[in-house]
Amino acid sequence: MKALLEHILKGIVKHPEDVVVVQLEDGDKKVYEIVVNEEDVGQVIGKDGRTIKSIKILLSSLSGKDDFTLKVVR
Amino acid sequence: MKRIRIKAESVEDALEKARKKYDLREGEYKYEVKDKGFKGFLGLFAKEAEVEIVLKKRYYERKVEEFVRGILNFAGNVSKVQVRGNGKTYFVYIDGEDVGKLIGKHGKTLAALQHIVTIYVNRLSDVKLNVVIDAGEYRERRKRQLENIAKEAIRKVQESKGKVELDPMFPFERRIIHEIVKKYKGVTSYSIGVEPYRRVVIEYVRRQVNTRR
Repeated sequence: MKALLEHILKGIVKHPEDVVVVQLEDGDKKVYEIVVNEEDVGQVIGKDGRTIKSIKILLSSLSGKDDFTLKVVR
Repeated sequence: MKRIRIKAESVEDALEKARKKYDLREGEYKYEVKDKGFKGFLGLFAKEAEVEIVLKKRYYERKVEEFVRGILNFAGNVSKVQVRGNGKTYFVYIDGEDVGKLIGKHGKTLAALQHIVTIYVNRLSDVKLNVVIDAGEYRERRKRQLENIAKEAIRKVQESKGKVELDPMFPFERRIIHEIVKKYKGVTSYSIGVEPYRRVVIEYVRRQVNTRR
């Protein structure tokens, strides 16, 4: 799932080389921390969080799992 | 689509630089030499060459296909991806055994994928491009279904001379309903409620009596 997340992020940002995804465990939930270039933070979240929501929907549909959180870190 | 200006020591170098930077292949771009450049003599009066590159439809079709395939690699057996550009709109057709996963409840996953691919393609373009994704002909089927819903409701409204409230729908689905209602006389439509529960109402309109004649 981390690889898929990276593929999507690198496709939509201006600075693909700055994309970093860190996978953490929070109890029994997985957390994916997303670090992107300052300039791309808005793009990744989207208006009213639409883009990050779309990414979440796509990831959970494709993996069949819903027990994870996406976090965009500044 | 997109114009890029690139400078280098020679025209050939500039083109090579552009091909590398944008992952361009033969037949995917046009170019115009803006400045042939000048090597100068004894290191004096040297001037860089400059070319202007215009990306073609074929480039966008291939890039979109690659990006979508990159996502579908994680989707089990979804093997068919086809991209067709028409003006500013790119249509993506996806099919395969596990395509259901990609559609989701009420096409939610499909809408999410479409949103992401739209951002992707617009990062490569200066003018706004649209992306429409269909998987397993879901959109086609849904459109026919919406047409039936609309026609059935219009018939009821015409009979009862009252109004019918439809189920909540996505904005583009409501648009399809409004378009159909427009074709019929004696009925009108509008939307009520707040997303995601916004829905279409189809209502009877009394024939306008022109009193002046």
